[in-house]
Amino acid sequence: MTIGTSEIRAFLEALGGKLAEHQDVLDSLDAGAGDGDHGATMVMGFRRVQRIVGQDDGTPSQLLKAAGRAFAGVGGSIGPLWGMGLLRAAQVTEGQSRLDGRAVARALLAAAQAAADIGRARPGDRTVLDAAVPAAEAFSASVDGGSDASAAALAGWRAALEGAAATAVMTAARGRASRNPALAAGRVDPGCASVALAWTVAVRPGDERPWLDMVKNPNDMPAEGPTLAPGRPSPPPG
Amino acid sequence: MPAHLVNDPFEVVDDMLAGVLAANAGRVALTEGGRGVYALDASPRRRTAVIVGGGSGHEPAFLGWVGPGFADGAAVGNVFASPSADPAVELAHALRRPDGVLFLFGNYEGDVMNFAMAGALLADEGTQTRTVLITDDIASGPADAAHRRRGVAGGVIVTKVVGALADTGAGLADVEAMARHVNARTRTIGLALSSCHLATAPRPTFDLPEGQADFGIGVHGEAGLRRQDLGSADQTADALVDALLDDLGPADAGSRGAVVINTFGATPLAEAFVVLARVHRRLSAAGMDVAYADAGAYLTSLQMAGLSVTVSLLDEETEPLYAAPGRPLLLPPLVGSR
Repeated sequence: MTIGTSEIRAFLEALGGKLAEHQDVLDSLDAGAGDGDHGATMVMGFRRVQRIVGQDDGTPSQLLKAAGRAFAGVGGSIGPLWGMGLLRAAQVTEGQSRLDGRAVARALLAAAQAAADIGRARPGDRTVLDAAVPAAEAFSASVDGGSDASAAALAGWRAALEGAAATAVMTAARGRASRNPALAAGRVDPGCASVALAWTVAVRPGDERPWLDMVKNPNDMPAEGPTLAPGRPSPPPG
Repeated sequence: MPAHLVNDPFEVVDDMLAGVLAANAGRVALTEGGRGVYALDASPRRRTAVIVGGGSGHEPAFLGWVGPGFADGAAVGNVFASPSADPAVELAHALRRPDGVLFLFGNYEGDVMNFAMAGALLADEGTQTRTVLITDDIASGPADAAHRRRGVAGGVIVTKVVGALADTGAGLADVEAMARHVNARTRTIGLALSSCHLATAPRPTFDLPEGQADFGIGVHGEAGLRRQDLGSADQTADALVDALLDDLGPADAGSRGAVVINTFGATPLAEAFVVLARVHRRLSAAGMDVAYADAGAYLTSLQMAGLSVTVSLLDEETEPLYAAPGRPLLLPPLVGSR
């Protein structure tokens, strides 16, 4: 299985819609230690992305680059984190019209590394990296182990949700939440919640229940990870 | 609860920029995205662009620091929020300085990330950028970890010296080195008598009982080192000077220095001069030759009451640049520009 520009476009559009639908959840995660605008900022960023998709999207790389530039215009901290992530994903996929599992893995790892570089953060600092890094690594390891892309995607999705849930017991080392870590205690890092929502939109479209359960009760995450809704088939991507 | 003169509180920055532009027709322009302010009357000798920036709510910082002898341009964010990478990139395009771009801004995570992204985008186009973080706020980190300190009003002194150097046609590496040099010799500490309040927020940013002062306050309401009884202007000045002298160390106190008393928004200029008199006496008594002293609003925190004291150590290289003439867009008198 490979993905091309049309699948990426559909993903970006769907994610914009889901962020708007769950904006209040994301804002409330940010209300303790931050300024309560994470969801609003993500929605504004994806509105900027939605304005550019569909016009001359070109290759996956060209679309990712345009999306990164557009998203970064929202500023704040999340603008450069997602913006540089999308730009680096664009760089490592340049010239390819279809992306196979290995290419997607490279793009995901590059995006997570870009966010780490620009945020000068490491996994464990309670930033977007705590969902983005384990998810990219799980996807990549699954591809390297010979799994097909959909099995790898499922592994990435699980790792994103588990990683996000784990931030509820972390102390912020960077970002606004680090100024008063006690205010963030017990809640999922809002940046990680958005990353986990992105994985949900990509891998389990139409099934946000595990994501909502994780965000609301991060400490109840089963040891074996999030469970799929039984008998609920994933709609085809796009 | 302070009242606000706004239309849509979420549009206050763009509405403000319309006014700034109307007041300075022919002197400044905005970049295409509307959030980059740049001077049209900069020295034709400039080879290096000096771009400052940060969130709004600190006026006259940072757009007021633009002009001959100061910065070339300022990236303007929303209130207390970093500008995105776009204005910095657009400013670099509009200014087209052959030697590249110095980004000079306060050490805040959002600003660091957005300017870093601007630097990466410009590097992809072949434009060289360097970044110097202003880290003058001694309350925000220990002296042995000065890179963790935030940037506050001392940035105006760094911008003044660096802008004067850029006016001589200095290259990017020299301008960058000068910015690091002056920043390392500039220290600020502030004190709040009341909280600031954003027009978009339901409550003041922090609670401060009347008669109390927050010593070491940041310019976005970041908590200071301690709460204390307010005391007189002289007692306040003494506490601020003691903290600065402590940080400077005895050897540094014997040199020539520049002082800036910066009001945060609500404190009257008269009270700033009362404090200036005592600061001047105390620094002189400690052995400093206070060559220049100014008071006014250089970097505010909306309508917060209080002020900060900045001391910058001068040397034979920096003093002529600090004293050089300049014409910033919106600044109270600062040596050389008065």
